[in-house]
Amino acid sequence: MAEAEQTAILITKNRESYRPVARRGSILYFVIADLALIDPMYQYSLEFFSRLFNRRLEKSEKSDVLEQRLEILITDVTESFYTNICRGLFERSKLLYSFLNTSSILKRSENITIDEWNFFLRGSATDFSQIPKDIDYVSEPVFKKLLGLEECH
Amino acid sequence: MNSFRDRADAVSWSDILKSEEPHFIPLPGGFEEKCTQFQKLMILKVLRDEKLIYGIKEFVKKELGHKYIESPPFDLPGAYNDSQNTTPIIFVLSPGADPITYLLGLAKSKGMDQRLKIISLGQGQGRIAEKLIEGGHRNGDWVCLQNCHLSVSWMPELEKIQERQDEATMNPDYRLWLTSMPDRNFPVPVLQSGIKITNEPPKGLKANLKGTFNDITPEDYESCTKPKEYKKLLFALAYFHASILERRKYGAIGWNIAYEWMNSDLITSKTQLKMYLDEQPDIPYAALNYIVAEVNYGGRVTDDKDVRTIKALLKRNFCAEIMNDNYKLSKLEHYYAPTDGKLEDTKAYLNNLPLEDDPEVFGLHPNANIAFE
Repeated sequence: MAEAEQTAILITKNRESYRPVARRGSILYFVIADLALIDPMYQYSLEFFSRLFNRRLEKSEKSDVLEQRLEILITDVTESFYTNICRGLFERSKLLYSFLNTSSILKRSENITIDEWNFFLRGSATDFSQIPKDIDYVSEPVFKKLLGLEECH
Repeated sequence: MNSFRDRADAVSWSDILKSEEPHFIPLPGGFEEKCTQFQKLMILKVLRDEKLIYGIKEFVKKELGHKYIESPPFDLPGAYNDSQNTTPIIFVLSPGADPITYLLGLAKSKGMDQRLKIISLGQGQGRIAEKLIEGGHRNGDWVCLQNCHLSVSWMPELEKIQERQDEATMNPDYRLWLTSMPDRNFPVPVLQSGIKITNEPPKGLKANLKGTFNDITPEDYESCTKPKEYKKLLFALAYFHASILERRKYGAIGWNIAYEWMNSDLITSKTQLKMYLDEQPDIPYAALNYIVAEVNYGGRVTDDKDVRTIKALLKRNFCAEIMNDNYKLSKLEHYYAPTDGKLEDTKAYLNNLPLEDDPEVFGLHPNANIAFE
C-alpha cells in the first residue's frame, strides 16, 4: 500500500514536470482557434490539434535529460504546428499567425505586460490635447503618442 | 521623453524618424539595452506606424527564429502523407491559383493517374459526385470535386456523406480532394476534419522564384539540347514572371489593371521556350519575345500602356546579353541569371537573395513603396 502511494507520488511528480510542454500546447491551440475569426476557412478542431500534438510527442527526438527533452518538445511542437497550419493559410495571414504565436508566448511568460499589449493595440486613452509640444523635430501626432508611451511605464 | 530632449540622442531619434529602414537602427539613450523586443516594437509603432510590419518581422525573427517569417514551401506530398482515407484534402483557392496541375503530378507519382476522377461541381452534378464517392469508397479511386463554392446547395449532402463514412469498410487508397474558394457556407465539420492547403503565388520575388524552381525536376532542367541557353533563359523567364506578378502590389504604379496571370502562363511559356531552343539552330529572341509577352502573358493584358510595359520588361530579360554572366536583370547587384550549373546551384543562389524587394528590382523608384505601405 505504502509502495503504491510512493509510486503515485512519483508519477504525479514526473507528470507535473512536463507541464511547460502542455502550457506551450495550450497557447498554440488558442491562437489556432482564433484564426477562424480572420477567415471562415481557417477552421481547426480540437481533435485535429490533439492528434498532431500526440504524434509529435511520439515522434520527436528523445532525451534522458529532462531539461533537454522539454526543450526539444517545445521547439518541435511549435515548429510542426507552424508548418502544418501555414499550409492552409493565405500568404497575407501567415505573418499575422507568426506574430500572434510570438506575442501569446511572451504574454504568457509575462515578457509582455497587459498594459503594453493594450497600448500596442489601442494606444493611450488619456487626453493629452492640453500639453504643448516642446520637441521640434517630432510631429504633433507622434508627440501625443510618445506621451502615451511614457505613461505606460 | 527626456531622451528626446537630449541633444546627443536627438540625432539618432530623428534618424529613426527619417530612415527607410528604421527597424534596423539601434535606439539611443540606453533604450536599446533596456527594452524588451516588444517594447522596441511599441516605440517603432509610435514613431513610424507605416514601417511596423517590418518591425514585426524583426520581432518574430528575434523571439522565435528566422523560420517563422519565411513561409514553408508548397508541399503537396507532405500533406498527402498526413492524410488518411477519411480525411478530405481541401484546396482553398485564391484568384490565379490552379492546384489541379499539382494534383495530377502527385497522382502520377503515386501511380494513381488512371484512378483519379475529377468533376467540376455545378448544377445537377451532385448525383454524379455521390456515385464517384461511393465507387471510391469501394475500389480506392481518388475523387476530386472542384469548385465546391459553386454548389452551395449540395454542400449539406457532402457533409452527410462525410459523417456517414465508415473507415472499416473503406478502401485505404481512397482520398477525397476538394477545391473551393473561401465561402461561409462550406460545411464546418468537413473543414475541421480535413487538411487545408492554400496555393497562392508566393509573396515576394525570392519566394516566387523559389517556388518556380521547386517545381522543376533536375531531369527537366538538363533536358534541353542547348543546356546553357535554356537555363539562362529559363531563369530570365522565371524572373519576368515573378516581377510582373509582384509589380501588382504597387497599384497603378505597377500596372493600370491588376491582371490575373497564372502559373499555367509560366508553364506554357517554359514548354515553348524549350521547344524553340530544341528545334532551331539559333535562339529566336524576337519570336520568343512575341510569344511570351504578347501571346501567353499578353493575352490577358487589355490596357495599351500595359502592353508596352510588359513588352519592355521581357525585352530586358530575353536578349542576347543574358548569356553574359555579368548581365544584371535590374540596376541592383544581386539579381542576375546564375552561371550555367546544376539545379541545386541555382536554388542555392536563390536562397541568398534578399527577403524584401527593393522597388528597383522592378525598375521602380523607391518611393513606390509608399503606395502599398
